[in-house]
Amino acid sequence: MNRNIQRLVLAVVAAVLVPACARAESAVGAPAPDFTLSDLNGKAHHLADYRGRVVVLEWLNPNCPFSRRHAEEGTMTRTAAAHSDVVWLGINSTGKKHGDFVTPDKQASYDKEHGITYPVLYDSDGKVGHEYGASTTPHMFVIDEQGKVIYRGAIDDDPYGRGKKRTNYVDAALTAHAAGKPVQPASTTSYGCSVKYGG
Amino acid sequence: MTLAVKAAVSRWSDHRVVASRLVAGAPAADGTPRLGLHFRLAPEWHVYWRHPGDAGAPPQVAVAAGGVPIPSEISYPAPQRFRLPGGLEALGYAGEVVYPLRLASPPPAGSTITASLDYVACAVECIPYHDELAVTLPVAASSTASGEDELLRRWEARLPRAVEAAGVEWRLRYRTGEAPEIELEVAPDAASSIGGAPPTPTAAASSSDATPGGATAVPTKGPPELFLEPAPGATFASPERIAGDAGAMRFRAAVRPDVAGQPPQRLRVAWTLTRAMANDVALAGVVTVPAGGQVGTSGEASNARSAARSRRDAARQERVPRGALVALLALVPLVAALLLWLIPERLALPAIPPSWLRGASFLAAAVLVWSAYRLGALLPTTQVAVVELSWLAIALAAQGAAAASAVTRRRLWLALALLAAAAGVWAAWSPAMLSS
Repeated sequence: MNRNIQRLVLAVVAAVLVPACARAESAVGAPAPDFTLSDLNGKAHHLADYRGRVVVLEWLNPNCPFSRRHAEEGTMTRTAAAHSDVVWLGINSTGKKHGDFVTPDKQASYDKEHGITYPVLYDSDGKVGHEYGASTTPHMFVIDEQGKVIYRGAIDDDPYGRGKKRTNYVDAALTAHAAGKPVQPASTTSYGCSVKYGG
Repeated sequence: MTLAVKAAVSRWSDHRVVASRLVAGAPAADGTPRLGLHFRLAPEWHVYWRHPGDAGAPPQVAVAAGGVPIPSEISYPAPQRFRLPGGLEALGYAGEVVYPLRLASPPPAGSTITASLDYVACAVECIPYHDELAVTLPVAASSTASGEDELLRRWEARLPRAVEAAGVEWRLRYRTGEAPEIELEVAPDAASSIGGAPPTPTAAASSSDATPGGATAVPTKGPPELFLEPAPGATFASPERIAGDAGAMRFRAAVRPDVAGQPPQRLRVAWTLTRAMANDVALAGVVTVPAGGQVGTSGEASNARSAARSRRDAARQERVPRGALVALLALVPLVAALLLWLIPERLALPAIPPSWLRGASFLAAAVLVWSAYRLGALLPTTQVAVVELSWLAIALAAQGAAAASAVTRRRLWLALALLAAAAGVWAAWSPAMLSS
């Protein structure tokens, strides 16, 4: 009898877990999924610890030409510097077995070369990337002081870096939010390489 | 006597995995130039549709005639869907594609057109390219078409046709609530063939066709596919084909509001449907549908019966939500699993080996897990949790009933199980109950 109960409980637990694996998305206005990820120095960053500050998440991949162009042009570092009170976190969700995966050493030298001083967090199992619905590099998320997503999408409106006049959506979102104005647009279609998830 | 130049091409800009060139066909009947951006891609590589899907970007072009910029617009043939690791998808073209290019103002024939082209090609990795292409516009139309003109014509024929012009019956529904979704039904007459069949690909191997870059386009066969573009205020999940009436195609796609819990009150749906018509012509429509509403063609006489049937189906579906149906059906494998687990100890069933019983019960459990998965897609998490808790309660009550020796007590346990089953189905039935 006890074994029967064990089996039943196991079956139901399995049934409960399956829908939990269904795709989650972080829409604008929804609470940003919490996470704890380590940076290149092994320091853990817990999103909830930054409650009370605005956080920018940047999905990146040093082997993606779109990420690399923005690193070379300093798009991210300049935007971060213009809003120095903002916590800027890079996230690399590349799967460990993917050819685009870089070791923390390589990532560190890439960061140094491009003047990237903000932490780059490793999400090699892609769990956090999937929770946010990050699909491209770069893919940007702005989270307000209360932990809600206030912008998600592209860094700017110029996928190929050709336009002389660009709209930097993240800069616009941070500026509007700091002035107490609503973020407009709050959602755009991101562009770039696909996130090289391991699974 | 030889005729004047009928078509012209730029040189190939070859990057090994992808090559691009600018093609100019004979001018259209009204004198407007016909241009196209021609790509050839190595196996595994693709370039993008207007809406690239989860990643990538559509091509961008800046056109000038004699150094004077001319506004232009890229047209997009019906795309293909590519599955990427991590559950992502890309929408675009593999092998070969020609994007027809329309100029806002026609330059004089004989002028040189330059195209400053940006695009990204992806396989496992993505590479953005920049090409400078130049072509001299053909002077006059002619009766015989060259290989390039034929190529351009072939791809122009693959541009989706407006559904209104195709005379095809269609209907789009927009349901809101906890899990907003749209449902599109298209009922092309099996014999319908709009605008004539696309010209058959000819072996147009002109001298300039010595191609770097790779594979030739093979019109892909397969089931009809629906492509949806992001709307203001929302995006769509990858559409899922569902059973439709005979001859009709029905698709469903979850609506993902940009702002959590706020699906647009009026939803703009730009859709493209491939392989729906007998002649492989893609259909496209752009329509705005109010929340909870429905738009589409009104049923015509010949299709009145099928339309009435769809309406009846729709009414039935609205009375019993799909989530409730799945929850109800899930009770069957649950009861089966419980019986198989519990009966052998009460009743001697010598004819059936115990391993068979165990196998069948695991099969039932698997169906149950699948039901839970389906529920996860149909219902909000809270409702799924309540349904599953009801299953647990049923299982425990059944266990209690099997263990109880007194008849009254057994009946009490079974009544509890029934109550739990009713609660589960009810939770799936009424979305209002659990919405916070």
